[in-house]
Amino acid sequence: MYSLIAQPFLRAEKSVAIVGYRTYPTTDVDGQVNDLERAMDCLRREYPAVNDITLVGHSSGAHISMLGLLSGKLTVDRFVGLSGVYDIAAHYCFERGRGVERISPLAPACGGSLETWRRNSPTQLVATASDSLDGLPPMLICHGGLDTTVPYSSSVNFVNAVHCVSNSLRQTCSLLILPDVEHADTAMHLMFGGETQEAVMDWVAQQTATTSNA
Amino acid sequence: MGRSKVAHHRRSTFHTSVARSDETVVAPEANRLPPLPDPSGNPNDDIFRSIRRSLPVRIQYFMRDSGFFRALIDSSVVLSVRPILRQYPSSLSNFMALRGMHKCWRWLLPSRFSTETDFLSVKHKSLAYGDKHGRQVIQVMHPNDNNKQCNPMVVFIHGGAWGYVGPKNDQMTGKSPLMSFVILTHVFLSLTCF
Repeated sequence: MYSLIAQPFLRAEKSVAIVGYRTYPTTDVDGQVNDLERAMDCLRREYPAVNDITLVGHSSGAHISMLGLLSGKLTVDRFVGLSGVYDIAAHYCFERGRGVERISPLAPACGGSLETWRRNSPTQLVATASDSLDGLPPMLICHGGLDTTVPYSSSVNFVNAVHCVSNSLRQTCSLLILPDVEHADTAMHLMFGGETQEAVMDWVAQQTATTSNA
Repeated sequence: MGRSKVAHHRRSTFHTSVARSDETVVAPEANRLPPLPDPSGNPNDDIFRSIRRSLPVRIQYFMRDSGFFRALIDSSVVLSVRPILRQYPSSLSNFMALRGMHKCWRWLLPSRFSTETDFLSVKHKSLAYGDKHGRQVIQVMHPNDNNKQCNPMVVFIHGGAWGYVGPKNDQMTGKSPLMSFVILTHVFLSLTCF
């Protein structure tokens, strides 16, 4: 299924890597971020000629990607976060309202305590960051307005926290709320076409051109 | 009281305007965004609330922590094949081409699903990394055989609530000819028995 996400990028003459990683209960969020780091190392070893990497994460994939970027374990040229979870405690409250908090891996995978949830919440990490976070790549944070799995306030609050850190991040971190899009749509649009695909491809092309001109 | 934060969506410029604030207030009316969802008001989640009410807590935790739910959800992914193919018939031949299976298995497809694909020249490779755990696998696709010339790369990290799905479901079809045959036969039968 996920291979189909490669379609628009292959048409744009970009190679695509779909990364699998260990999931709960095999490992927790720390292990998942470490897996992403090792996967990126593997890709760089295997394809040393690759000189431009766009990281795209969906939902919890956007969450662990952002944790990897904030910890410095992942270095990429740009990041696209689709329908991401960026605040664990807030999302736990949302899951409790839905009635899924006991069967969802969220609570144990993220450490099982308020302290570890805070450490694994990009919004909280950014809000309390001691440095300027200038190492973060350009980011497009995209969310569907009809998302009932992860509310779009997750992305709004994260981008708000990032923009509060420095003026330079206001220029490089963009928020895009697609009013008529649901949670899975952001990934399905990449596979089969739709406004998410158009927006992401436009943004990546725009960013690639900016990088080339610089 | 803090000021409200407003997220703008302007397609051409991706402009954002999120005001500094101590509290989270999104103003949907300003840009036709719908109101934030009420987590307890979605009838699609009634089944989860029913499970929470009716099952002992330790059984709910056991299903989560033993990997039972992961196995259940991962194996149910195949159920999504049929509705997707009904809506996007070319996705099957594209999927097979992306995974390098097109030449071997296209004869299995009903004619209406074996349309020509844009991805016949795609080169596919499966990389194991880390401890070579079954889920530590990367599916790499290059737009053409001359992959050394293709320098930009997109790396996709799937979701799944930290515990579900992943390329392993795809991997099954790529690794074993027998599994490919079983899955494609299942797809063929489900398609021809509408």
